[in-house]
Amino acid sequence: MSSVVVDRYTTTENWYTSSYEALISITDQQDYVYPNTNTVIGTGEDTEPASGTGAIGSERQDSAPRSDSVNYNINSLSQSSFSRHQFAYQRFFAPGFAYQPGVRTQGGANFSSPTLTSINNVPSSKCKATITGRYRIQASAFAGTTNGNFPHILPLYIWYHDNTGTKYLLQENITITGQTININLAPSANNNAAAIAPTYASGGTNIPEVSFTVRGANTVQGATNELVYLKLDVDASKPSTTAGGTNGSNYNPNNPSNQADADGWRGTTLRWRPIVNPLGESLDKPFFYGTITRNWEGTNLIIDGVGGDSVTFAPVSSTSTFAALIVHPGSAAVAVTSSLSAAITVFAASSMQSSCALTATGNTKHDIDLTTESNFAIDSFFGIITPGASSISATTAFSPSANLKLGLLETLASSTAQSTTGNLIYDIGSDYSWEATTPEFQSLDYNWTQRNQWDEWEPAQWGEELQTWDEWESDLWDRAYTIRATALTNSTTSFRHGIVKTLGATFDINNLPAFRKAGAASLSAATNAEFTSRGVIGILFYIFDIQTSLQSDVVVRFDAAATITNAFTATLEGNLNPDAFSVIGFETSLQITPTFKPGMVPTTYAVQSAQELSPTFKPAGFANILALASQVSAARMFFQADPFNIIKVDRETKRISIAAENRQVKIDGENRVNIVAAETRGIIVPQETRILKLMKAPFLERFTTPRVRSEA
Amino acid sequence: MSAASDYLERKVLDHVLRNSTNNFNAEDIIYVALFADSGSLASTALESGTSSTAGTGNWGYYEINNGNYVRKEVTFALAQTAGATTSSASNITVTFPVAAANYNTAGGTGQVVTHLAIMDQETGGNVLFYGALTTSKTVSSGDQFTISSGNLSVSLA
Repeated sequence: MSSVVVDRYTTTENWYTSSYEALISITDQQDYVYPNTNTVIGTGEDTEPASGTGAIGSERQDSAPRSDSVNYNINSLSQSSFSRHQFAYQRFFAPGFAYQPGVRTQGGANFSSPTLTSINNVPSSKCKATITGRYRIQASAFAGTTNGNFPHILPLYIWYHDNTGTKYLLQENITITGQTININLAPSANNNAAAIAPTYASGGTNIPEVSFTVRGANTVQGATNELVYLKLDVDASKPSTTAGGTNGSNYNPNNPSNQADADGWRGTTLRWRPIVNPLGESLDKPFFYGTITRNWEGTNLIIDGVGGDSVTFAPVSSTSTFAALIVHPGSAAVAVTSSLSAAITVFAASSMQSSCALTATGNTKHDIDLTTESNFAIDSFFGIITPGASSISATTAFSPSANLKLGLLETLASSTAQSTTGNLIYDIGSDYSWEATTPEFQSLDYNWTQRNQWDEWEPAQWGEELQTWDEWESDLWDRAYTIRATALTNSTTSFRHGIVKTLGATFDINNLPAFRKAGAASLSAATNAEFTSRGVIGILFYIFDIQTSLQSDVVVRFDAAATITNAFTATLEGNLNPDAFSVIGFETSLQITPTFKPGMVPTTYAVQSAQELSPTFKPAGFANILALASQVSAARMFFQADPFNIIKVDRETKRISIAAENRQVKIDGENRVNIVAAETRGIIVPQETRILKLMKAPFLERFTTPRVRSEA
Repeated sequence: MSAASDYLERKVLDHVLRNSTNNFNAEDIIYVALFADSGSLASTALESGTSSTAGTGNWGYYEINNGNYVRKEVTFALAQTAGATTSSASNITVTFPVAAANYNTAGGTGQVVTHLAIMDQETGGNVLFYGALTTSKTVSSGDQFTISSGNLSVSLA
């Protein structure tokens, strides 16, 4: 199974940090005079007045010197505390005083600022926020003194951090030409984030675009850099005069000691606004402005077989239970009992009887070929002289083991769909002109387009020195070809072949020692079989291995195949009169000829056939062909033999009905002459006298009638 | 216990063995359903249970029912026989909707998909075949469950 993490949802919006600003004071002595007495140290509002005392660029009022914190670690604050106008004061030392480099003011935003949210029920833990933008800086500086010695150079160092924590230095030497000067380190205030390309006022350096990423706990892809370095470092070194500047200021109203350094500076305060207000608002002044793209991850759980993780339902096993002779499905019980009891009296006749009852119950939906054998054997031995009755018991074990399957006896009907595709060569069925010939005709065998007249044809193009159609041999056209066609025949059937099973059962009867011969015994065995299904059952019962001296009188019933529609009973009866030690065997067989039932699994048979067709071209008659502007007087048209037009006429049987004939021979006339050679004619006797003598029967007694007549 | 539900087994046997008296008419469209079972009763429920969402003996108790989950249509290729096994594999990719919430079931059995089943209806209906995932899949909000074509197979042996 593959699990692929994808960005399910993505949003992009503007993003910027909250604001703060800082003042950097560069003074010329340890005791610093805050230029703006109403500025709050630490956190709080900058209530810088617009004008008057305390306003930027106004005269400063003296106040008690204080030693402010050197390094105000803004970065450790949460963004919410950056809300506005937090201040950090950094003391720098003017020329002539101890220089304390390397202490800088930092500004930054808390890395958790880009909020990880949820969307469409995808939790924030699957959210990844990427901030892309640029730092923006705006600064202004004003001189801590107003001695008018300008210009001075204020070296300003700004480090911005990229997403790897690497700091990049942007240095600007700010020329202070007045008490207040704006240091435009950012583009115009109203630029939006996308258009921002902040540069220093000198235009020498761009602040490149950087990206930071914040990820939820469950995100697994995307940038690994986190938003931990979003900050700026700012240093301001002591100012220096430039050529042309005035050194040696002697006026420093903000310095109670009125001490001036060699350059005449008492201090300079740099107001660093590493923030601008692009929308012109007064509260939000981001120092980093850009866009934030949030991605919410989702996992595609794909069952694609990778790692063996495909879904295979456990094979459905079909079990046909055949616990009896002819049971399917389900089970049936076959109870076979056989008992043989005999009372054999020595020197006297005894009788034995054995019965075998075979009963099968169940739903015999399927016909099978079943053979059941039952063998009875009665053994006798010499030396058993015990007179009296003995009892012979027999046990029968009947354990059929069948593996019966559904069978079929069906006619499989298959439909064959055959399509044949051959390469037909064009047929000329009527008069035509060259212009009317198809491009295919022109492009296949002949290059007609390069010849305008017959005469322009080179002999080589005809193959020989053929000048006209008539010189072409028919054989050139009479080419045999073979079209091979294949057809796939699919026949689907829903039958399963069956098999024939034979079930065998043996009955053994063992006699007890008391059994002995010298008497006549009769054996009567009956086998009952009961079926509750249809089928054809052939039954053959017979007694085998009968000694010559053993007389048997066997009656077999159902000894021929019969259609069983109901329960039946087959009975074998026999009279056994043994006069010697012998083995008596008994065997029954039961045969059932199955028919077939539909199976449950369709089977597809694929049949492929190939047909070869071998038509030839046959020359046809002559026809006029118009070529170009001239007329061809004679041409031979060739027709392709269409293999499909070859019709095979089956053998016919014709009967001619002949009407019944009556023939009469007309004889015009006939004269027949009869010649009588001799003639005897009787003469009628008119009168005759005859005398008859009557015989009288001699009746001797009244109860007897004489057989012959006689005279008295 | 096989991968065919009792319902399907009865239908097949009646259809095959009782000729036209109990024909089983297959549905035109069949679906794949997902189930989550933190215990071990889902298989039994899929074998013989119903769509009822009450009771651990019914598969409706374990079927996913939230986060935009719906059963998705699936089709299968013609069955093929290899050796003693005849099987049919899916021939389309089944893609469930992106989960809008952590999966869960009517029975509150969690978001870990443990079983699949082929159903005969988009809702309710009957279980035809079912099986357990080799590896259970936790479907959280935003995740998407997909079964690539050919990777869902049913076999008869």
